[in-house]
Amino acid sequence: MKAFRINPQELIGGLALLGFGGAVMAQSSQYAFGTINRPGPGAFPFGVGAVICLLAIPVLLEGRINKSELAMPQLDRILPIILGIVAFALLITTLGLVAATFAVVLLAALAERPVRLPTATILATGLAVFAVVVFIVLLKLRLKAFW
Amino acid sequence: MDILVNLAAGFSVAAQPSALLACFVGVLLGTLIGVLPGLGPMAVISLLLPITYHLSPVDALVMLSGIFYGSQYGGSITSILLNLPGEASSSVTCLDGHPMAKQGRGGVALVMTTVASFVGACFSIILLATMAPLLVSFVKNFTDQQYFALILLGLVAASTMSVGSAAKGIVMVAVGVIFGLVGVDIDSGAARFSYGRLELLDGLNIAVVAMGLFGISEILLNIGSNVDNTAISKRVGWRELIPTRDDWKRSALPIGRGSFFGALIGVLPGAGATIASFFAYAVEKRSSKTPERFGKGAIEGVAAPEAANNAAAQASFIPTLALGIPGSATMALMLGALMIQGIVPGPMVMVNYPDLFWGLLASFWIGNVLLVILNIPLVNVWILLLRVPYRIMFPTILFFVCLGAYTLKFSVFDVYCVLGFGLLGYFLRLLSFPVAPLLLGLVLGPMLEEHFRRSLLLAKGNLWTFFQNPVSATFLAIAAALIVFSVISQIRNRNKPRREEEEV
Repeated sequence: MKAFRINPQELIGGLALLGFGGAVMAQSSQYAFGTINRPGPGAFPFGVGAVICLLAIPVLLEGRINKSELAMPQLDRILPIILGIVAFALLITTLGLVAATFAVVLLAALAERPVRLPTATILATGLAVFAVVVFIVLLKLRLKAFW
Repeated sequence: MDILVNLAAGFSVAAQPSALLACFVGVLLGTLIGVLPGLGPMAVISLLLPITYHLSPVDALVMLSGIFYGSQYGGSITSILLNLPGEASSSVTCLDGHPMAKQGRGGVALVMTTVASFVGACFSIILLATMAPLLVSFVKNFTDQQYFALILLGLVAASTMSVGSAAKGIVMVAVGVIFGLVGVDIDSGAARFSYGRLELLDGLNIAVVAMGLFGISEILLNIGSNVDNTAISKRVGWRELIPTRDDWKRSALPIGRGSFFGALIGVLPGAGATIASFFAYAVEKRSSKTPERFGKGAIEGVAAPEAANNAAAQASFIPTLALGIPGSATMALMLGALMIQGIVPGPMVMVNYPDLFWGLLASFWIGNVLLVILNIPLVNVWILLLRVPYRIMFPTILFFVCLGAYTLKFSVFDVYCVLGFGLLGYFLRLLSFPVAPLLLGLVLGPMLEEHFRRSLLLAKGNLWTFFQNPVSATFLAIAAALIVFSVISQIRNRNKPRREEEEV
């Protein structure tokens, strides 16, 4: 008899679902349930949360069928993208559109192999000029180009 | 002849300059992303969703749907010439299309693909024009119980039919429903899942969620995996383009069958263009007198699947427009575009906004004609575009996603939301959970709850009310049967490799 082994892919997914479903149920129970005649705002999400928890079980069991390997996140690839988006969010209201454009494009270029900053700088310049002309000059959106 | 009168009215809507421009931009962009592998219609449609705030409802839908069906045309160009499917739905076209190109008949394959695509699309447009009004008159007077059951059936079907695991698909719908409930509850005024953030009171914006789930997560998955496509240089000569009499004779019936099966499969939720094209290919190969020719450049193997995937793409608009029930994530975005315009999706759309429905339908025809013009003479231009390296494409998309999210409401919070949903989509895909059902749940969740609560209110709290009506009971029974069926087939296929592609 084979040992009962759950595929790590489904183990992580199933546990995350249990956690999410449980959190949804806990949160919904703070809203009014209403009555069965007139369900309140908490009733439906509570039920859906319970469904999520219930479905986590077949997902966990599926690890017995599924033999695919767990893919690991490649941090050196995704970190520059995350930082790029965060930098854009921080800069767009403070230093303006041009700085935000350079930040997101240059940081994203760090995810490529090999890293080619000159290409990225040209691309960022092009995009910044395009964005300023189209969105600020032509469409007059509420954006500032510089600080 | 009501239909002809309506169609004439539709063409007068679709022929207006702004609608024509929207249609042209849509199919042009669609062809472009169809040609580029690794860039799907979902990412681009979600990217353009914020722009549609500034368009009229007709123009918005005309453009977004143009992107969708245009990508079906574009995907086949690279399949045939480079053995590189631009979209999942054209991967089966590689099997015979690329051998044809190697034999110097790539031009013929392209022409036949375009003709087949056009015929398939026209078939489904006619089906849409005739079937949608019937469907609407069937569901127009649905009670809340019946509509609840119909939405539930649509969600179950869409999440169980296309992906490997039924449990994963359905649970993703449920997670999506929860995301859809974020914000003020219209019935009681209570704020739900907003954690004190004012930005969340209006609910999550579908454009933000879609840009994250499809745009950002696609970049996160693909960046750095440099496909070197700069070496591509293949040109198609003019003389190669003309199919022989024998080609036409061989292709006519496969195109007809492909259109028929494609339209049939396209109407079903969850089973989209990819399944349709594989199915049509299998039918041709099995019914052929010379099956050994398949895989070596049989023109039937190009014509049938291409007719089928375009027929399916157009047919998927039938449940979306007539019932308000999207069968795929792309169709969910179409409904999202409607909601942005303040139009509540459902059977009443056709009744209340006939201009929108018939105008969109007429634009499909115009768009398909434009695609024929764009595809054949310009094929060499599209191949040139393949040389655009990813190191330029990905940062550009990333930039436009950030800017698009921010300018929706000039809120930095939306940019962080995009990032959050991007990471969610990335991890879900790493764990091989399907992402598309999440978007379906997000769009349909609020409607599902509304009908559920009103049903109970009207039935005075009797939970059996959903089973007491024959129509809703039938829908629920079909939904249950689909779940049982997919569980059985999953257990039976436990040793086979799973299908990882997702229908978008």
